[in-house]
Amino acid sequence: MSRDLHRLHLVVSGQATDLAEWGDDGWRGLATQAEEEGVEGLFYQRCRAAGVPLPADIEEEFRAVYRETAELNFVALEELRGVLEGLQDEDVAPLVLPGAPLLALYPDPGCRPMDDIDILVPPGFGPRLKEALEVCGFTSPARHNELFVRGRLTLDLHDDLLNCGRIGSRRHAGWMEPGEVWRDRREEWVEGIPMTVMCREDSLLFTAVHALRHGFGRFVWFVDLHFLMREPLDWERLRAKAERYRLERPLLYGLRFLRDRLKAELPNRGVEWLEEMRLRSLEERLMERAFVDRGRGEWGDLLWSFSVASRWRQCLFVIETVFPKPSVLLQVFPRLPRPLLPLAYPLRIVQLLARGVSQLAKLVRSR
Amino acid sequence: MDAPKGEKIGSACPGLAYRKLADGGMIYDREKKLVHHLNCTAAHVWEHCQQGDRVDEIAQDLCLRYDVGLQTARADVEMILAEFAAARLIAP
Repeated sequence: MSRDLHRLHLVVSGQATDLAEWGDDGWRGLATQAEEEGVEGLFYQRCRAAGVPLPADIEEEFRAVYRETAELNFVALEELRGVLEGLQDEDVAPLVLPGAPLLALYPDPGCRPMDDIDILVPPGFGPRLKEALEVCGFTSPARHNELFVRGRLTLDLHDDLLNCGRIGSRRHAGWMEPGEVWRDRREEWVEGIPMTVMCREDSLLFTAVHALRHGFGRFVWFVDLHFLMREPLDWERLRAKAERYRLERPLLYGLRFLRDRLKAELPNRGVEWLEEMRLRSLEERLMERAFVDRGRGEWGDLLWSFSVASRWRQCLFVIETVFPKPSVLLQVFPRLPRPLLPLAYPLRIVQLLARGVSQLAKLVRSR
Repeated sequence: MDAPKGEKIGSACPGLAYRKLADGGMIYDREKKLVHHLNCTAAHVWEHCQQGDRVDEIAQDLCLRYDVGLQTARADVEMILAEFAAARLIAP
C-alpha cells in the first residue's frame, strides 16, 4: 500500500517523469488508488499535462470527476468574489482559511476538491458579518449556526482556529492566536480573486493540525502539506510559531508521514527538525496505526493529545473529544430530535463500541 | 448565425468568467448562474475571442494546433462562434 501511495504521490505532485512507461496494469492499479484517495482530478490533470493517454474507461471516469470538481470550485470562488467585494464595502473583510487559498498551489480548480469555504471572522465583527451575509441572501441550516449557505456557496464562519468553542480542552493541545494570525495575514490572488489569507507559516500549521484532527483521512491533505513545504517559508518564524502555538507535534507528524510513507522530498530545514524530534514509543505505535487506518478521527485525536502538557489535561482532552458537549453531539447525530438529547450519550457509546469491534476485526484479519 | 470572415467577431458578454483547464475551459455566467464547459478547440476559440482576433486568424491557429486544413478549421470556428452566440456568450 505504501509503495502505491508513494507512486501516487509522485504522479499527483507532478514529479513522475516516467508516466508513459507504465503498462496498462500499472495504470489500473494506480488509478484505483487515486479513486480511493479522492485525487482523480489531479491525477487526470497531471496525465493530460504530460501528454500521457490514460486507458479510455479510466480517462472518461476521471475526466468527469475533474470537470465536476472544477465546476464546483469555479462557481464557489466566483460567488465568493462577489461576497468578498460586498464585505469589503461594508468594512468587514474576513480572512479566508485554507483550503480555498490552497487552490493557488494547484494547477487549476479541477485538481483539488473543496467542501465549504472556511472564513475567519475579524475579531469583534461576528454579528456584523453574519448580518451582512444574511442581507446578501445567506441562510443557516438547522443546528449549524456557523454555516451560511447561498446557492452553491457554503461559508463556514470561525472565530477561533482550532474549533476550541466546540471542544474546550483543545485549547490545551494547541492554540493559534487569532490576533497573531490577523497581524501576520497577507493578501493573495487565488484563481484571480484577491483575498486576505494566512501567512505561509500559519497556513502550514493550520493545514497540519486540520489533517491530524481528521485522522489524515484525505490524501490531498498530504499533497497540501507537501506543496506548502515547497513554498518559500521562514523556518525560524515557523518554528517559533509552532512552539508558541504548541503545534510542533501535529506538524511533525505530517512531515513524518510525508517523508517516511510517501518518500516525499522535504526541505533540509524540515528534515533537520524531524531528526531532532523524539517520539514516545506509544506515540510511534499510534502513528503507525493512524496511517494504516487513515480517516479514523480517533487516532488523530489520540495523537494530538500528546501535545497536551499535563497528564490529567491529556485525559480531559480525550474524554471531551469522545464525549463532546450536547450541541456538538446533536451535530454528530443530526436526526436525533432535540428533546431526546439525553439519548445522545448512550448512542455515542454504542457508536464507539461498534467502531472498536470493527477495528478489532480488522486487526485480527490483518494477522 | 454566420460570423463574418476576416472580420472581428463579437466580444464576450459582460458578467462572464473564464477559466482554462487541462482539457479545455469553463465559462461561468454570473448572472444566470450557469456554467458552460468547453472542449480544447472551443477554449482556443474563446481565448482568441477575448483577444479580439478575427475568424481567419483563429482558423489559422487551429490549423497549426490540430493539423487540419484551413477550410475545415474555418468551418469549425464558425460553428463554435454560432454556439457561443446562441448561448449568449458573445455579442456582435
